Amino acid sequence: MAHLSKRNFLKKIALAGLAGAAFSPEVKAGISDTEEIQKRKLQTRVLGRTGLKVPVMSSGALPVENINLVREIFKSGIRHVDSALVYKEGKNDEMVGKMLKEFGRKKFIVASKVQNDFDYTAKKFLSDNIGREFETKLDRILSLMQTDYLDILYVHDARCREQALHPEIMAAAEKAKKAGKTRFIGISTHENIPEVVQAACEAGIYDVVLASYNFRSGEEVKKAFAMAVEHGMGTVAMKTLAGGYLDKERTKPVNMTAALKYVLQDPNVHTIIKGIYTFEDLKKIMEVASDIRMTGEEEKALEEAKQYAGLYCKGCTVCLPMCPKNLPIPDMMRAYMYTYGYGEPLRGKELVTKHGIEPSVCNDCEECTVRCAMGFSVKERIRDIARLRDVPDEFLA
Amino acid sequence: MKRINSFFLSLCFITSVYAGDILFPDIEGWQKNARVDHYNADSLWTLIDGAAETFLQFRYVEMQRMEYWQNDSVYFELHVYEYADEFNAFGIYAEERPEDAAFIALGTEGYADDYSVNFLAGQYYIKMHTNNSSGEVRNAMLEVASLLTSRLNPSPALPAVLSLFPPANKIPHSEKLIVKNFLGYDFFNDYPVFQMRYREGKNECFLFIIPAGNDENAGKLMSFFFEDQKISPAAGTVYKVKDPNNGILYLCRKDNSVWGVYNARSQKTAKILLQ
Repeated sequence: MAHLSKRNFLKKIALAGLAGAAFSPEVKAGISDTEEIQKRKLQTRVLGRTGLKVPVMSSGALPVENINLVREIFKSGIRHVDSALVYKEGKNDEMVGKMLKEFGRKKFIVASKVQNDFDYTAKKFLSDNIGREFETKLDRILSLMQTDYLDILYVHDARCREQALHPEIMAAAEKAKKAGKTRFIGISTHENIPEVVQAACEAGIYDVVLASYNFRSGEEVKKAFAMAVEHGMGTVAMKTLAGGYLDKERTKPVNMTAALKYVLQDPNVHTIIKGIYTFEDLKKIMEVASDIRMTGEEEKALEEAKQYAGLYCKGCTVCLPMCPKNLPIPDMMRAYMYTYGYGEPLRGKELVTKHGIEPSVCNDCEECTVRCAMGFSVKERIRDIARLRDVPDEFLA
Repeated sequence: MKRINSFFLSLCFITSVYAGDILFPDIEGWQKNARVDHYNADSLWTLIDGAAETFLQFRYVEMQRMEYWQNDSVYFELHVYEYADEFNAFGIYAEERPEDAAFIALGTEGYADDYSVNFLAGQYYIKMHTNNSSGEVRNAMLEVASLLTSRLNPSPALPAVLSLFPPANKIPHSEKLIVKNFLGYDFFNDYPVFQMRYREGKNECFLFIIPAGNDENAGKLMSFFFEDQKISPAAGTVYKVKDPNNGILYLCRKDNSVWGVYNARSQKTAKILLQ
């Protein structure tokens, strides 16, 4: 990611040094980056059956500590602003409210999210009064935003069909819509996206789906977006930078514009929400929103990122409880990376041998229960890498 | 950019170090989970989704989670966020703290409402919430919070640098630690910035302090704002700078730090705050 260079920044700044408590008159300012940004014509898409026309780039979580940047985001032409009650304990919703008051409610499409505590193992909500909890949280959002209604109210962070189709959740969302507290209902999901989208399509009450989609996403995520569009839903992509870095040490940043444009090549993605934390980010996002064509440099960066991402396990350990054989999956993914990414099969073999992984280790499981957060085919990779155990070292060196 | 020193450098990076289980206290009438859940920097999002980004801005170590149950229907849970030091823990605590919260005497600082108790305890930021707003549950939560605080033995005071902010017209509980993208620029990311909001009539403005370790570093840091790199900022001199994106900034070098004011409507306000 290119940074706003010190040189560029300094060119736009004039100085007056003043002795003691003496202050000089204001120095005349040149044309700022943000004024240039506001001149751009943004590409738009229609958000499914909501009929809402949105620029292809939308705002995610706001930089609430910098009101000047937040103002520029609202001035920039971005019309769709996505928030959630859990972001900074409601401070994000509160900042959206300040801006709506300043710029006018009707100019913006405002989304926020309500999440009820859910036990993902037992697949049930923890509250004994789901509807009341949902309503209380929604009312808190509206109060923080100083508005009577949201444009999109999301059921937040659904990870299974039981959540998406829960009758009390659906009833609470529909009640909010009938009461005029939201114009549309959405569902957001990061995990098990195909299952959740399928359930959302069956439910029929959801107008918009918000889901993770990036250059690491597999075909099943693309198909899920396509399915949502076929069912008339609007689609919003998030987590489009896949964590922002290619490596665990955070030394290899993802090329932001390439990653965003990659997602926008899919017509089944109607808009992307992206957190905007610097003026330079805002400038780049507006560039993407006005022209989604990839440059040669971006294509190259994306290809490199895909190759890297396709092998790199972040070691999040989400997979560990899912494997009935308690296999050391992150280490096996690392062995795979050593072998195919670094071309060091001997290192891969060392890990396989250390853990005593047999080539037939996954044969007992008809269907793999592991769902890798990065979308890796864990069973295939382990079976592949476990074969190294029987290969003599001299063939691998 | 030269970094100031290893202490400040450490504020800006994320680590993931496994720690042993915290000894969550037992209390009468409540059943604890058998296992403590641990969340590292890569798995935190699986629990708190997009909110994780804010937690990971600061130097995060890990989070431990525990549930307490009563009769299978009433519960409360704790999220104990461990940070590398008390500065980073203060950073995330202040990021989430509402200024108008009902503050209570707990840990370094804390507050509560009907469903939650959140507090800072040295290098730990502890969040508790429940599905039941009865007084009995609240008392149980406070008992656990109090016992846990005794075990964690936190520093009783907020970071000392905060006491440097002048008290007049200060908006209570508005102090923050910003470690990334200060003023919307990424080239200050190596520096911690302490910031406070002030009332200026109907307007609100900001005073910030960037500890630089020594005068030389403070001067270098300040010169980042200047077009003319030959200028060597003198201590005690106030510089008025026009930033195209943030408006007028008033800056001065003071006590090994850079002090600044922005969003002020009048020079007089800046003068008072910087003096």
